[in-house]
Amino acid sequence: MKFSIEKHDLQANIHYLFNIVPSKNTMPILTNYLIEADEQNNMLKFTATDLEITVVAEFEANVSESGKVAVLAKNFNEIINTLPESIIHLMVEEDTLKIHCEHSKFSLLCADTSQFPLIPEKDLSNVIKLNASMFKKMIENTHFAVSTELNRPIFTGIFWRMTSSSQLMVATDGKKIAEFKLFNQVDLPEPVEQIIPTKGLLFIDKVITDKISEISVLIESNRVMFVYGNYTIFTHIIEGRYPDYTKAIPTNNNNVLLINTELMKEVIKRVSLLASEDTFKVKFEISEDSFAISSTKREEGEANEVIEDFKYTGEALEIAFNYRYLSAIFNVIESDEVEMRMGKSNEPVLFFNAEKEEEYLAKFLLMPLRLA
Amino acid sequence: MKKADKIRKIIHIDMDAFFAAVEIRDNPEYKGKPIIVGGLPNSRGVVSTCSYEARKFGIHSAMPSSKAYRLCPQAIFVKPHFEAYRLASQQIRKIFFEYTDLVEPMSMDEAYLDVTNNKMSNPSATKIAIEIKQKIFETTKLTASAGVSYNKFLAKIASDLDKPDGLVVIKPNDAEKILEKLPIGKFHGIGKVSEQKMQKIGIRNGADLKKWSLKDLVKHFGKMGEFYYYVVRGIDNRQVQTNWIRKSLGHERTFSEDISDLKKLTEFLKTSSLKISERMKKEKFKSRTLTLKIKYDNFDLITKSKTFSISFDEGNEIFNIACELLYQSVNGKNKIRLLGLSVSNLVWENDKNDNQLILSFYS
Repeated sequence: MKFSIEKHDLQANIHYLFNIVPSKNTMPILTNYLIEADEQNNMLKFTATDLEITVVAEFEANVSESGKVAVLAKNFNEIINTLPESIIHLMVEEDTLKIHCEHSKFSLLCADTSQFPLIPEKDLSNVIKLNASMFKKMIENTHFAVSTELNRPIFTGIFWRMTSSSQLMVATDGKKIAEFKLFNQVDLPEPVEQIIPTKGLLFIDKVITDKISEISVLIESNRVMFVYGNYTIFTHIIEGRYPDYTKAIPTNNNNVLLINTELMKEVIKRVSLLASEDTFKVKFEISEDSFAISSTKREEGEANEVIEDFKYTGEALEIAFNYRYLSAIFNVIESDEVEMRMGKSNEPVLFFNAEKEEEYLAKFLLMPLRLA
Repeated sequence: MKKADKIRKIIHIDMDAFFAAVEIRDNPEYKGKPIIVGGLPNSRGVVSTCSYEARKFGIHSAMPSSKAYRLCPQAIFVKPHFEAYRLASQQIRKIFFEYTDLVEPMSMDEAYLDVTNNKMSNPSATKIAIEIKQKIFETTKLTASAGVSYNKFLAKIASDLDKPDGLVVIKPNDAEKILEKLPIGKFHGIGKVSEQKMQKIGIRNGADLKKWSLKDLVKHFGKMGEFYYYVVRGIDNRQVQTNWIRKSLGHERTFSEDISDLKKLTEFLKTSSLKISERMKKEKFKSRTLTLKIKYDNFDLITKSKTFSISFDEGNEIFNIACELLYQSVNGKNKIRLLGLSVSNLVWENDKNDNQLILSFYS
C-alpha cells in the first residue's frame, strides 16, 4: 500500500472519526483504524468501529499501490495532527506503516487486518433521502435529554419515528423530555420507528454542514445506515419498546410565563452560583405581578434575583428545578422568548419556543424538584 | 436524665452451634461427634457452623472445608438444611414475642430482647431468661445461651461467657470488673483488624483499653474509637431496634470451579439479579447503587459500584448494570472464583428524600 495526501485533507476527513474509536476494549483490534487504499479509483477508506457504531470515511488521495492496513488510531491521529502543513507520504513496508512528511519519519507497527470486524456493504439502492440540516436540528433539540445511565438502555437512545408526513425525535431520562416534530413529506412506503444510540447521532450532528444538503438513510431490522458526504455510518438499534411518554405530557397547564430567553439564561447562571450541590435547586416564586428566582447553599449563603420584565397569567406559584436541566432546555430554545406552561408545583412543566415555526414544533418537559 | 439512661433489662439469646445442633437433633447418630455444616471437604465451600466436638480440633466458622478436613478427617460433613433452621428460628422468635415486642433479631439464631416492661409483668429479667431457655428447649430440643444485663453490649458479652447452655447475668456493679479482665478479642464490635491494631499498641484487655482517652481512641480508630471508649466503661445506649432497617441486599456464590467463560458468569448474574429484584419488590424498596464483588482465582478481591440518579428494582436493570461492571472487571488473565451482587443506597416506597420528581412512565 502506498499513497500521498495533503495533511490538511487527511486531517479534515478523519477529524471526527477518532470519537468512534473505543479507548479501552476487550477487543484490542478496535483501537485501530482500518485503512484501505484503492489505486484504481484513487480513493482512501478509513474505518473505525466500537462494534455498535461503525464509521467509514472515504476520500480522494494519490494512491500508487492498493492495500489494507490496521494501525493504532491514537498514534496515527497524534502524528497527523502534529505534522507540518505539507504532503504526507504513507506506505507499508512489511509489518509497519511508514509516514513521511518533510523531514519527519514515523513507522507504526501494524495489527492483523483479518481481526478487524467485518464492515457492512454500503448499499444505496433503497435509501430514503432526508434534509440534512433539519436532521441535525432534530438531534440538537433532543440529544441533551437522553439518559446516560446504562440500567435502562432504551433511554440512552433517541426515539425516531418517520411517517410519510412527519418525523419525530424524542429523548427522555425520566426527569425531562425533549420532543421534536418535523412536518415534511418523505417518500416512505410505511412508517418506521427505532431507538437509535445517541453516540451515532452525535457523530452525524458533528459532520453535517451547510455544504451538503441531503443525508441518505437505510433502516434495516437490526441496524441503520446513514450516508452523508464522505461518511457512511452504521449504527445498531437499541432493542425494546419505547414507553408511551405522551401520557406524561400535560394538556391543561394554564399558568403561562413568557420571558426573554437570554435574560433567563443570565439569571439562572447567577442564581445557580449558590445552589445546593446535591440538588442543584433553584426556586421560582411567581405571580402576575412579581417574579423572583432564588437559591440557598447551606452554610454558604443564598442568592435571589427579582425579574421585572415578564408576562405571566395564572395562579401565584412556587416551583423548584434542577438548574442544570433548566439551562439545558434554555440552551436549545431558539426564539427570543421562551414560553413556560406550568401546572402545580409538583407537576411537569412544558417549554416552547414562543415564536412557533410552521415547519416544526419543539416541545420540552421538565419535572420539578420537591419544594421542601 | 435521658430516657436511655434509665436502667434497662436486656437479654441476648444466642443459640448454641445452631445449624450443627439442628443436624444432631435430626440425626441422633451424629451425637457426640464432630459435625461440620457447610461445604463438603472436596468442595471449595467453607464451614458454616460446627459442633463443639469439632471446635476442639480448632475448626471454626468461615474456615475452608478442605482445611477443616485436614484438621479433623473423621468429622462428619453435612450440607446445610435451611428449611429446618428457618423453622426452628421461627419457633424461637415466637417465644420471644410472648415476653416482649421489643425483639431485635440479629440473624436466624441470635436476638436481643428488651424486657424492661414485658408482657408477663415479670420484674426479673433473669427469670425470664431461664423461662425462655426452657421453652426453647421444649419446643425445639435445642439449647441456647442467654446473657442478661442493662445494655446490648453487656448482654451480648454475657451470653458468650458460659456457652453452651449458659446463663450469665452482668449486674451494673460487676460490669466494669468483668470488662477489665476481658481479652480485647472478646469485645463484641472489635474486629480482627482492630484487634491486631490494639495488640500492637499494647491493648490486650479491657483494663488496657480503659487507660486510653476518648481523643486518642478516636484518633486511632475513628468513629469506632468512641464506641470502644464508652463500652469498656459499661456504657452502651443503643436501643433494641424492633424495625431493623435494611441497608443493603446481596447475593453471592463461590463457584464449584473457577470460571472464565463470560456466558456462565452472566448466567449467574442473571439469576442473581432476578433474585435480588424479587426480594426488593417483596420488601418494597428500590436502590440507587449496585456493587459487583469478584474474587479471582488468585484470591484478589475487588468490588465495583455504580450509583444512579434514579432508583431501580427491575431484574433486567440490575442485570444490565451488573454485566457492565463485569465487563470492566474481566482481565483475561484470571479466572473468577466468586461473584456477588448487592444493592445499597436504598430508597423506600413513600420515602420523600428523593428530591427530583420522576415521570410516571419511567418508574
